[in-house]
Amino acid sequence: MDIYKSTNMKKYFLISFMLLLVACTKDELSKTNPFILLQTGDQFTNNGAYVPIGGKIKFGISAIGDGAAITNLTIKRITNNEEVIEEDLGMYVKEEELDKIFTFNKGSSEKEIWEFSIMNLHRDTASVRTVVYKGDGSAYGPINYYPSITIAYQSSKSFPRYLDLNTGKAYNKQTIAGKEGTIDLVGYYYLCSGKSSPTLSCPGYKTARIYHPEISNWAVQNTVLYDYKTADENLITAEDFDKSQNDSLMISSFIPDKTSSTCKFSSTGKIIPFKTDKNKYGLIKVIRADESETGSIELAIKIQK
Amino acid sequence: MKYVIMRKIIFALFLFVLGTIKLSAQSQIKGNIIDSENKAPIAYANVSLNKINGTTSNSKGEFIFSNLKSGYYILSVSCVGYKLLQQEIILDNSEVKTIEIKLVASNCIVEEVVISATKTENFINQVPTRINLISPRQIKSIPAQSIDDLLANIPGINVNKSFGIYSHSSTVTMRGLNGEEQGRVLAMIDGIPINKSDGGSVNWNLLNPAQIDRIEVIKGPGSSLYGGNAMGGAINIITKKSSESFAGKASIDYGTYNTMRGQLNLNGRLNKSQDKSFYWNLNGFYRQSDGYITASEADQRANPYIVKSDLNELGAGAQLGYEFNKNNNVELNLLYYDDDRGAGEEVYQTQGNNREHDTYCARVKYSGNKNDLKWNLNLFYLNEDYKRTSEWIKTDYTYYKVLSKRIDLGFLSSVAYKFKQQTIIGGIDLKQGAVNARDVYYTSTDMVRNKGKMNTLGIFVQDEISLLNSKLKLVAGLRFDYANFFDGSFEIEDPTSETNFMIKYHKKKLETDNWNAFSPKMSIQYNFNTTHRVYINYARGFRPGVLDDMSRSGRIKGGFKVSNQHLQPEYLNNFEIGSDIKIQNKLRTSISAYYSIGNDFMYYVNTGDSIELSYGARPIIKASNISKVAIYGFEAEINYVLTPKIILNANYAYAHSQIKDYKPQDVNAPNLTNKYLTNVPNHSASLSASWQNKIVNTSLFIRYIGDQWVNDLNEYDEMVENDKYPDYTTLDLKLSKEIKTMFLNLSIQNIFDKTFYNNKGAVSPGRFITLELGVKF
Repeated sequence: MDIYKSTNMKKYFLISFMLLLVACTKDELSKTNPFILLQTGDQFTNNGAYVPIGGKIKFGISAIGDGAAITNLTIKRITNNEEVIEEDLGMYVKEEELDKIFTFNKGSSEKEIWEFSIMNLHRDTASVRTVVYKGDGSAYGPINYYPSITIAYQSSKSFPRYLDLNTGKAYNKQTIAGKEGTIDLVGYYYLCSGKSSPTLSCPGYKTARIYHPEISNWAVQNTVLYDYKTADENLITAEDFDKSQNDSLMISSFIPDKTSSTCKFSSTGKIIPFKTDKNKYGLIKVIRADESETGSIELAIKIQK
Repeated sequence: MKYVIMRKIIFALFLFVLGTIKLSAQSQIKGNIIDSENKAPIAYANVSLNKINGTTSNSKGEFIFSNLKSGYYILSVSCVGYKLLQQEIILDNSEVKTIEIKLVASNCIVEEVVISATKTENFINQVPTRINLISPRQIKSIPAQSIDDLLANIPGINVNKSFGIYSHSSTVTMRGLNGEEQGRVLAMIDGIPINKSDGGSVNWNLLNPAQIDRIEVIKGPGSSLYGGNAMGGAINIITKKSSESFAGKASIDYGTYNTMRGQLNLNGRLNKSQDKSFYWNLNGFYRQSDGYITASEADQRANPYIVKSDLNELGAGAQLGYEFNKNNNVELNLLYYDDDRGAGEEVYQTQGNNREHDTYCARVKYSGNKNDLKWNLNLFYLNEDYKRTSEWIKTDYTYYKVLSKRIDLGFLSSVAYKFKQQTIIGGIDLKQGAVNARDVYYTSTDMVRNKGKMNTLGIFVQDEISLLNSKLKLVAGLRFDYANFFDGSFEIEDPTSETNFMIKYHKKKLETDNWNAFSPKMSIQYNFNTTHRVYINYARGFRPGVLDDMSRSGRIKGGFKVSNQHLQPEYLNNFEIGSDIKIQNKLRTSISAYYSIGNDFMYYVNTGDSIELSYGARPIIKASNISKVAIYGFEAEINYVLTPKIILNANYAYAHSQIKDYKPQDVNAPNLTNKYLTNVPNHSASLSASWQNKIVNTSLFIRYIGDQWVNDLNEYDEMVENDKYPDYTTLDLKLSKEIKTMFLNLSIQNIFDKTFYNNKGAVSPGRFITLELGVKF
């Protein structure tokens, strides 16, 4: 065999081989150092503060991502008995500093450790902690009670369809103008994998806008978080709901790290804890849920004032 | 570490190739095939030597047989539109014989040679089963953007592709099998399987249609030769081989949605006139497109982040072959493919929601023959790095990536021995499929990993017997496959509300399991004469469980899927009868009828438990072998050679696919007994006409696809607003013109701009036009 041709042939193989190896390089992200701190001052609950049970706790956080967008903020309440994730927020804060204020209610534990963690796009993290002690007395707040509100599903023309949870007022397509920013709740009905699914949702939820397409044009689309564990496991009875006179049950029954996003299957008899965009806790009792898209759903609602 | 292993494997293949190269001098036949009237070269004619060696002529009508022994040969040349020509050749030792073949035009049907159905060369009408061949002429005439487009006009083939070239996955099934499960039909490139063990899927974009010589479609189970996945049939894509000293083709095309593509192919053969020969082929293509809005109108209204589903893809291939020492040939094929297909939603990430398939494929083939013995050895390695980016805003922002490394590698072998009227073929296949995947969340701390491997050993034997002076042909075969699942895990790190609902399924080591499968086949064909044959056959095929179902738990449509390591194969027993009749050598009718019983079919079934997902309690479901399926149908096809330049085809297929027994594990779960399989058209039909002429070659395809059930329950679907996808008809057209070395192709798919929807309400691309300008050299 011609040695020159053999050498050439080996070159072809070698070049192909090298090209393949070059194509096998990995993407590696470099290590970054995001940073988070708690804001201080009279308006915030400072480290070591005493707050009565049910009282307001207010935190302000500031954070930077060190050149990579901040993509997550997690707030944990750690007590002797358990660790509860109060907030787990996905976000994309690219260059500007993240400044955010949160309010919570003091629980029954003597000592609560609050941990604030951020993560950036490189999955690098930073965290900071503060401690809040239980003060004397109780600070549970008053509530509003709306014993019967009926709203329409997507194809019903008999009832109003948009509900303001704070005031208990419901609006239809003709009366909603100018009130869109107050709406927290809409209902719709569909078959989910063949299962009858009367559903409560909110303007901020994409699927709700499919059933109520006019919402897409609203400038403000509020969201409401529903707790599904409490509701699905029937942890609160109708009797508990009827008896509650302050916001104690609303605060304790909403379990943040089990929270759904923004919709809830809502069959007759269900008690559903919720939390609004404005951090107000409440409870919904489903008095009657029709199982047809031309039907409606009747609710009793209790919400923090 | 993974790349180190990959490099080692590639290096081993590289050494294997170099180590097997030997040289020696042999005789050779080379020729040039031309039209007897106008002297024009005839490309892609089938050329066979003693019915053992086969090739096709290149674009200049040239062919070559190297490394021949001295002796007596019969050369057969056939091509659609021409009369069969046979010529005796006596070859001396070390002689290079050059011949000119003049084919006479004929408006008669010529049988072509196929290899996939029996792993031996046979004329298509001598294989007692139904085979559809997509010939080089058809490939040139079909307005295809990808390989699956080439298959869409074959009777009984069901191509499920919602978004045309923007579809990140496409499913090609046949004969009444569910149109969403690619794993039930085996796809191969040059005999090497390309179904991934992870999900059974096939990337039909992997090869540019310009690289394909022909496609052989074997209907019905092919597991007696090919093992798993060949349950419903097998599709073998055969790539072009170079036979010229140097040739090339370059083209650019532009089309709908600002779609641009460039293609380049260079190939050649060194030492063409000598006994030993080195051939090569380098090819590549790049395509990009702005795309279109695939989301439904309702989704567009509800979601402000909807964008066009765009496309960027790049493919490159290299083929290096060496023919040496008495009919021995070694060939290395390398293939690289990388795409980025937008999924139509973009919030913060530059690429938005998208999917990428970075694919590396290496194949080494060694084939040879001595006297009446032929052998074929293959090593293959297929790596797909699948990446999916998902981002959306509901109450907050969610952004995560799926990174899945899917590897399939193996050794395939076969040895055939021909004596008297029999050909016995046997072989051993060793394969390993592996997946190592992770879901990485960037808006929470979660990370979910799953992995698993499956080793498969297959042994097969097949006997072909010709009796009664070749009037009667028997083919009997049996294959045994043994497989084991191992090295599986499903792990969740730092769970938050995104994944903590499935923490109970966290397992560092999943259970192992194994299974085996027997795949028999028996076929009989009787040739009444040269124009009429009838055959019956029985074959059993199987499809193994996929690694994704065995190792990964997670949300799927309808609930939450938990992994099942104890999945057994599903089986299809197929009985078929068929007949072909040629009338005056101008018209051929082919009819096949089949009845299939599927046992242990895999379905996702409710376990009776539920799990809290983000919107409430949803059923826990598991892939299980629980249903029995009955499928029957028939296919009829008519080919008519009106003149050598005008060929007409009409075909119709009927399929009836019904679940006959379904054993739900939960009394409250819906029972699917007597429900129909989804995404299967009962009726489909195609009409086509191809006219070659001096002005512009014209091809026309009309395809009808009947209505199809949308969901398993055969119930009303709110997105489709019906229980069935409506039927539709499309018309495709291709116009081609060659002027010396230049060529121009105009392809129009879906001329009537028919829009259809998938089960998410997303819309098809409608009319798609591309204009291609190229040059051959």
